[in-house]
Amino acid sequence: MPNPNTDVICLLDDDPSVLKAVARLLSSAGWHVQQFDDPEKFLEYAKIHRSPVAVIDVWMPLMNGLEVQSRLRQVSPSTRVIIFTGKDDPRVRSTALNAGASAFLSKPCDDEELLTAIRLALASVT
Amino acid sequence: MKISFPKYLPGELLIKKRDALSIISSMIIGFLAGLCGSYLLKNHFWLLTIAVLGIVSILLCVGGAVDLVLSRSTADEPPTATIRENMPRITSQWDYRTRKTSRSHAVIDNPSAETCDPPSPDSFVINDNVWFNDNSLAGVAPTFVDRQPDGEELMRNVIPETTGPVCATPTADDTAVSTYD
Repeated sequence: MPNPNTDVICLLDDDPSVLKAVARLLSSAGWHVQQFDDPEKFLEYAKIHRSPVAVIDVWMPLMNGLEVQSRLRQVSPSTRVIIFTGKDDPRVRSTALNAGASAFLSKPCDDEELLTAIRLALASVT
Repeated sequence: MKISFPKYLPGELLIKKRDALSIISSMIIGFLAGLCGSYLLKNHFWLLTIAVLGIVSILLCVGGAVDLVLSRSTADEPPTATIRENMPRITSQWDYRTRKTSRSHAVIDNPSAETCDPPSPDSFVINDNVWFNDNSLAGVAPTFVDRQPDGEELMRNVIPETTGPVCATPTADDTAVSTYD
């Protein structure tokens, strides 16, 4: 059973305002949040800490979200991935979901929808 | 936010001003009546003295009665009504976006809703802008990683029209679509 007080949710987005807003939302829900704007740093962290859930943006300058998702599978297979993007491309969506993403959310989405997606992802982590 | 209340209400100021005027006028009338009475008494005009003092006292009584009536009529009004009218109104500036009604567990059944068919539509759950992957919730096989191309390759397959590098900075179109990015 996931514990909101101990679960660390990783956020990866190149936009600091998104990181700040989502981190505030998740913190208010009781989760610890690790924010990353650099995919490499995120992957390094995920390799060591094996965070249960990661919320990842798709369109980033250094590395796209699908590539991060793929590399995350290699370094931390147990981490559930939630894709959170501003551009809802059906092909990107189907690719992300086929690659094992727990949920695909297009911005702006309802706060409760994001929280529900994270709860479901945490529930699937055994 | 600074909320300032007026020290005196406009009605209150009027009442105070009227009270002061009536007191001053009564004092003047009394002073003049005294002068007039003393002069008449000095000259032994008894009847005139009595008449002047009587008129003055009647005037003072009438003035007092009028004052009393006016003050009572203003006292009958509920003060809270005036206060309510002059109260600064605080309106909420928080403009929160409307919450959309969620269609829980609505499975894709309308082909026109999507421009391409997901490989396994039954495993995805759609909620307007949220797509859940039921297969992912059941767990991903460890061998899955080996079968998948890397993200760059995925992106190249997914967006073949992309001319620049896959990891390039989002275009102006992308930023326009996203409210967060």
